[in-house]
Amino acid sequence: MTTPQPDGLRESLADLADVVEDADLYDRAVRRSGRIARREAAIGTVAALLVIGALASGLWRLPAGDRADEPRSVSGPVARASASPAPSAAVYAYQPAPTHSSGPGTTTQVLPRRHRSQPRIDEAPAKPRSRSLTDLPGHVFYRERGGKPDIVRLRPGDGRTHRVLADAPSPVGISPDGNRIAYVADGTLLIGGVSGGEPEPVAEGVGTAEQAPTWSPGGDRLLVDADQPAVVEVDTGTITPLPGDLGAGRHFRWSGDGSRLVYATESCGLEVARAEATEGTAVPVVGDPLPVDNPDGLAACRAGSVDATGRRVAVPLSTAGGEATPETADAVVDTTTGDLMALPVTGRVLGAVFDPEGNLLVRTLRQDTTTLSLIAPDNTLLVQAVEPAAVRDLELLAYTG
Amino acid sequence: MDAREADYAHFVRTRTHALLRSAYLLTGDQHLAEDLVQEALARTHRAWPRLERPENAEAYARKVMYHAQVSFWRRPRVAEVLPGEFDPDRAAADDPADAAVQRITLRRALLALTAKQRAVIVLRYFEDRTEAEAAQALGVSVSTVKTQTGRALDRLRDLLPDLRVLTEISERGR
Repeated sequence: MTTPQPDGLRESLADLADVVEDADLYDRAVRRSGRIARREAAIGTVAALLVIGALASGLWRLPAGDRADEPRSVSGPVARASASPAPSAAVYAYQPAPTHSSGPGTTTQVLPRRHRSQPRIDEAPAKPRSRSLTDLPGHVFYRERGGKPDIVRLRPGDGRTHRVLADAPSPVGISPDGNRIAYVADGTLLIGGVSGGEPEPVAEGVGTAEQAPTWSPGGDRLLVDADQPAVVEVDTGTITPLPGDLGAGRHFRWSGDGSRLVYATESCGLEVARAEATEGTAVPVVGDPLPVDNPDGLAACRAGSVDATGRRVAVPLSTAGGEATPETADAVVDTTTGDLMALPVTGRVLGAVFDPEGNLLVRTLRQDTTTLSLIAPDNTLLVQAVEPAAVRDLELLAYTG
Repeated sequence: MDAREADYAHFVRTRTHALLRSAYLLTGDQHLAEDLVQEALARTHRAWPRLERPENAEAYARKVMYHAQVSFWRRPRVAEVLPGEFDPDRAAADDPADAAVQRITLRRALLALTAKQRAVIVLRYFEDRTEAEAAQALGVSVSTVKTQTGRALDRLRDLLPDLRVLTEISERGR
């Protein structure tokens, strides 16, 4: 073991530190402390309500054998929530984890063991209602890796693929009905049909650096990056910037019912805003810089897709020490609690997207096989089928159920 | 202002500059350093009733600061070094006796380290902490501190081959 010459590095560091100017941070620190206190009070209220709700619902009467494995049981974390209102302790009761019957009249919700920096993956996946790809409704959209990717549509009904856009010049948005595709070329927002035809220009002065074109649930508006986050009316091309503090957000996504916007912040946190609001509410844990609140260092630098109500969002998850921000969502975050949703699948999650009805399509890799799993809003595993080899090297982009 | 708040205000106004010096080495930027220290001081304010002595307060604030800087991945946490901005050959060609040049070169080299590597360098060679103390401040094992320190020094030697600050001597039992 060696150490640098004390009179060298130490003096140089001291000399460099002399550059910093003194500052009076008292007022700033006290204001920040007040904001932390208000947030902790809000979280404490949620935790207390969880405890009351759990007691009222009889969850405390779960079998003793289930409570023994505390981290995997709903009852344990709820009990801890009463002692500590920390968000990571309070979140478990909200998890819509799959249910497994352990005997007549007895149902236990099971949470997986949580590995650092990894989304929860259910260790005992539910049995799907179907293992046939043909039972997967709608269309699945993929993109090639790298710049100017082709956009490909998979029709699960017959397993056939179709290229809907070659050499996409920007990130794209697939309309909720799966029939239109929006993208930007040379600052012009274009909308084309996925079955071909000449794209039509809709608006000028549009970028995609912090916002891919994102369709409203009704297909009549698009969220775009027009120097700031803005909404474009598809029929008229009218651009309206998002109001108030929303202008500082990025990667906005609508909930399936259009009532909420979920978006990322500059510091890789997430916020949720009502569609008519001028500011959002922070999603707990994710992006919180303090280890005590965010022990796994979870962060999300973009929102992927949102369920029907805005309660859950699929995100590309970043973690402490991560070197790059993935583009494809690989985890699902509860926007009320900030916790990761347990997925009733096995293998490594390659992608996860919600359709407007709140069904979640998860793409996983296990033993060189990629699988598509469709999970209903109540966490029922509807379909689980092997993905066609034709799309194996592509990235999951969107799903229209 | 009650006595407890007055004590906190006194702590902030007497220790902020010392905290900012470490924060500047961690972030490489005045504003980012202020943000980091502000967060640490705010957390210390929340914990103030539980802290019995000013020494405890500073230790708490520093621990918060290092944890916040090291354990959370966030892009704008350190000043950016633009591509091509760091040029070891150019740095070596400059007069090593020139303090300003050496300061700029060292800052750029520190920013080329990972957050954890930078933290162990600051803890060990600026704050003069032992490996055990550095491990405690970062919430990692001593072996992790040793590993990160070794990698950081190797990286600094690569980046600053001609600077005398990295002359090695044998470890003597710290």
